[in-house]
Amino acid sequence: MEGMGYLAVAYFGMLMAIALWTYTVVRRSQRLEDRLAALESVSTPASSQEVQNDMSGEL
Amino acid sequence: MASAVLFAGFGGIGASMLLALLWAPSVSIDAFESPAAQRIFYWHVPAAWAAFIAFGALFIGSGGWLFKRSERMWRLHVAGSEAGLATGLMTVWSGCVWGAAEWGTPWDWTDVRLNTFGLLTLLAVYVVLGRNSQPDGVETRDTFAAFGLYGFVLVPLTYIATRIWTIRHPGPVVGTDDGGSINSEMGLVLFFSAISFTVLIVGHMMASMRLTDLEQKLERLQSQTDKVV
Amino acid sequence: MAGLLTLNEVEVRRGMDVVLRNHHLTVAGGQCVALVGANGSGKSTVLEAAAGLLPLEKGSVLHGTTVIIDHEGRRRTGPLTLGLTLQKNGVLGSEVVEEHLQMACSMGGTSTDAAPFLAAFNLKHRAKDLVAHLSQGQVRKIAVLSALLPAFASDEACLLLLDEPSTGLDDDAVKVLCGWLSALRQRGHGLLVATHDQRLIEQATHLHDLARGATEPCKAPTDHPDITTPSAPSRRCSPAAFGVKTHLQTMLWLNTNGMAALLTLGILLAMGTFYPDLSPLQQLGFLLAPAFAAGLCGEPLVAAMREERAASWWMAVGGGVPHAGWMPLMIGTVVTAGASVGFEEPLNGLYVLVGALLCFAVWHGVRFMQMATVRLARPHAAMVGLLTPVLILPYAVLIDWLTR
Repeated sequence: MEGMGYLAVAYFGMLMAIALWTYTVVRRSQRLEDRLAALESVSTPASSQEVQNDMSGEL
Repeated sequence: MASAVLFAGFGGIGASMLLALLWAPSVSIDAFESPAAQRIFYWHVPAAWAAFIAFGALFIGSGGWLFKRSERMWRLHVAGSEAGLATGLMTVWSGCVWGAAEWGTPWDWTDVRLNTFGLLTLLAVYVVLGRNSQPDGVETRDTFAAFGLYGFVLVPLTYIATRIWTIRHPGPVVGTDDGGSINSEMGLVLFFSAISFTVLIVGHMMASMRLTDLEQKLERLQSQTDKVV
Repeated sequence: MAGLLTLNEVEVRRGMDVVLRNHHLTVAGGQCVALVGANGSGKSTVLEAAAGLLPLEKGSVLHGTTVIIDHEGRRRTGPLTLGLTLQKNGVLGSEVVEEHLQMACSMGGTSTDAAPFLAAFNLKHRAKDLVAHLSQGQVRKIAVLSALLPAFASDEACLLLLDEPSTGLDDDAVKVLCGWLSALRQRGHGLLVATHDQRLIEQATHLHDLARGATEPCKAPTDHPDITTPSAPSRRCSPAAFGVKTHLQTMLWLNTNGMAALLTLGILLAMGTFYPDLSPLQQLGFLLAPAFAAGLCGEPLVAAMREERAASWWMAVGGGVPHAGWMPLMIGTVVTAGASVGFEEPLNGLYVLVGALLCFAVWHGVRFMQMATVRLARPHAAMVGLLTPVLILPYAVLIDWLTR
């Protein structure tokens, strides 16, 4: 493989690692939202408000 | 806030990649077997630097949980382990590819720095996957925090390896007594890339800590709801 | 109503003891048969035999008119949808609650909204959680729902086998369960329930006393109002699909197969630059060694599925134990390509394909050996690894044939 080939493979791998890392954060966030939706479907008004107050802060 | 830092980090590393590929000066064929592949340096070194930050966070977080039972420190452990895994893998991958180009082999079992860094990355894999396989609890936290604490001994060893032993991995190019062997343009791109990776990893860790905080709050609310419904 | 379950002169051993001898039992549609007897009398044995999980010394077990297992070891998948709750919960901690229930429902070829059932069991707020996050009582509720949901979603008569379903359930949950058992019975499903719980026994139409080996009708249970459960057709989740999903979620393959391949390659690369000096046969042997090593580790899900007897649940309901499916092809491809890069060999498509097929064949071959020990009392103590050298000769023969 030529030097440029090694360069491309290296950066591609690192970009994939960053993409995967970011994907795990996004997926965690989505699962959190799903679990919150499940909780809100049965929650009392007080706990719902507490959750909303917490979740309203952005990441 | 974390999102803003994260996006700034993405922008920075994207720009540093473009600078590395298009602007950074070429190196001499006398100094490098594969001058083109040398440009891997501009992400490889900052990724390693970011990994050290992450493992440092893992160490502090692990110690904070084990000795102070601090929830905030546990969140730092979680964030540090995930960041260490990602940046460790990036460093190992780019290093192996560059090693294949430059040394003719992707790995050298006699090189202390490579092997200690590889072990650190494996430790991060173990801590992340292991923790995700267990329900949250004191036993889980104590077990993996202990690994995070003791594994940290590899970090200073990795850092000083090129100074103490004559090994294949090159020695430091910045921060040495003689001013280093790096030219100013290369230094500029490297510095910019290092800052970008630092911002990225700080942003990722902030996001992770926030998510862990929310997960813990959600778990508490669910436990309360278990009792009420 | 037609017989859904028939145990014909069944004899079962546990260890060396004969636990069931010449046992007859039938469950027809619309019946709820309560299995009663003292501890150790064989209630769980009857249930597991009915599910086709135990080998028979004598007799046969039929689901509908199909013999699902007989004393000569012949096995067939039954035509009926089976709902099963064992004494262990049969569910992995890594599964999401709602996804597990949908998967269980898909075994009957249908899907239904699990939310009202979760709400009735006070678990709606846990629908998106991992099973590992739940308390034991909550997991028990999920195990019971896994058995009942396919029947609720089905228009055809199903067979439900429930072993101590009320264990660990609170009083409210038991009341709800009694209502559901009644509703399922009224819909024409057949239920066999092993229980000590008087509240469940009161829902039975028949009592089967193990001590006497006889089934007697009992006082007609009170009918509870039926529940509307809209359902839709759904593709059955196969053991391979579930296995691949679990592997990707938990990265189990990395711990054993992945590390074996990585270490093999790493050790070979550590030997220095020797590769160009080897003969073509030796070169190919080293090139394919990581894929071979990955396959030799076998199927990690076999051990993982021992959690809560999930493997037994899958064998009875899903028709097989989950496995990695096509994943060994991918892993074999990647490690062989990696070995080519590591040894600085040009990528040879044929060798990469052989690596993929080799990993696949060896992985599933070792899995077959592992499955052979699954019925032992302590399967993890049976050292299947000692049998794997038998694969080395075929490996050597393959390499030799490829390099001729």
